[in-house]
Amino acid sequence: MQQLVERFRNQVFGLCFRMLGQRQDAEDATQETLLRMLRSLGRWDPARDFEPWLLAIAGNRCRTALASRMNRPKPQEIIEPVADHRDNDHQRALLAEEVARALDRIRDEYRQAFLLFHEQQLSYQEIAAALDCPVGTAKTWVHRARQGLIAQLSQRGVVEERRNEVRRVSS
Amino acid sequence: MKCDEFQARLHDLLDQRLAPEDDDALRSHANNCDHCDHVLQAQERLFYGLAQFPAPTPSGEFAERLAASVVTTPRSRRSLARPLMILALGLAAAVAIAFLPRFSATPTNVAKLPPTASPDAPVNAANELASSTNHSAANDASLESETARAIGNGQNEASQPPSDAALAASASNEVYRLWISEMATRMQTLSVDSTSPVEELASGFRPVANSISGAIGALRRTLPGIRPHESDAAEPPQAGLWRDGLLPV
Repeated sequence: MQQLVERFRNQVFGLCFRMLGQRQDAEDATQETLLRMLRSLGRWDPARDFEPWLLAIAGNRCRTALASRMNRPKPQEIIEPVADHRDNDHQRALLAEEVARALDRIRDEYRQAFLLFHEQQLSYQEIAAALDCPVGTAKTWVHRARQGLIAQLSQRGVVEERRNEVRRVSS
Repeated sequence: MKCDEFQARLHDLLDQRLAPEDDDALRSHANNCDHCDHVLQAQERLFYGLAQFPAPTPSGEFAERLAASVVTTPRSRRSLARPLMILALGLAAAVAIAFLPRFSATPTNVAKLPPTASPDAPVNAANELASSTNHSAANDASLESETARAIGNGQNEASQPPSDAALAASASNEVYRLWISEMATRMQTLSVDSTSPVEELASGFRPVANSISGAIGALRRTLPGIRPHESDAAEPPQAGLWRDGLLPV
């Protein structure tokens, strides 16, 4: 039992952290997820993959946490456009922050599907099983998540204007 | 390539976990379309930024807390749940034991049904007919005593059906026959000697004794070898008389 928890602890925490964006909330959701996993282990169908089943529990916990968070007042957000994109540690950290910020602004279903696909490397079939939705819906959610994230990053000035730079150089 | 085809191909490549910026077709279109070029760069930044995410790991303190909760929480809940379940089952069993006799006991104020005649028992039709009118014809001693007790109680006491013990000890159809015969005699006597104001009943009403006598007669006719006679004939139902206009409404 302890080994099972240790085996999936970081993975569950990673998803919860991405979904919730706060360490404390992510830890609470992780703890609830793993405890639920242990209690519901008898109901797990061995014919199904274990990982999507576990991540589905984590996703449900995160959605519950997000719903309860709606009642809490949001902290005031300070918007600072990214100035430049020099390839150093600081800029990478800033870019990661921008991506995290954009993730926080898309719908929960989109975010969860996107993270399950691109971060947890689950297939669309596994995501559909985890989120209890058709495969086509899972695919649509991932596509819309990408579009929303790309749009937000573009609005925030994250994209390098390489074309303009090239044009300026050529002219 | 058009812009919507660019979008579709972009998602196809991402679905296959391939890098769209390395695709020649996409690059070719992006070089001639500012919007799609912007999209291509934005997605590149997106996944580059995603890869820069520090792998979130829970703190050591959380790991310890989690380990403790995993070990203690399910057991503590189980240790509470099991005694509660045992207590609830015990209470349910006690309630069932306390109330079961009340529901299962035969009510004392309900008339006991007459014993059922056994069709398998051989019956002499002549003896049946004779003994139905003469109670002393019974051969069995216990049967005699049972019959004597039933008849000897007099008119003012309610007739009792044979006891279960008597039924078990004797031929059940014989006791059944005697009980019905005794009841028939009693009801005939009641109809003759009754001092109840039968004559005062309104037109269209008949004494209850007549109805009971009819019912006894119907039971008597169920005995093998008993021929119906006029005294056993049941009165026609009053509802039919009203329906046919023979009685005033």
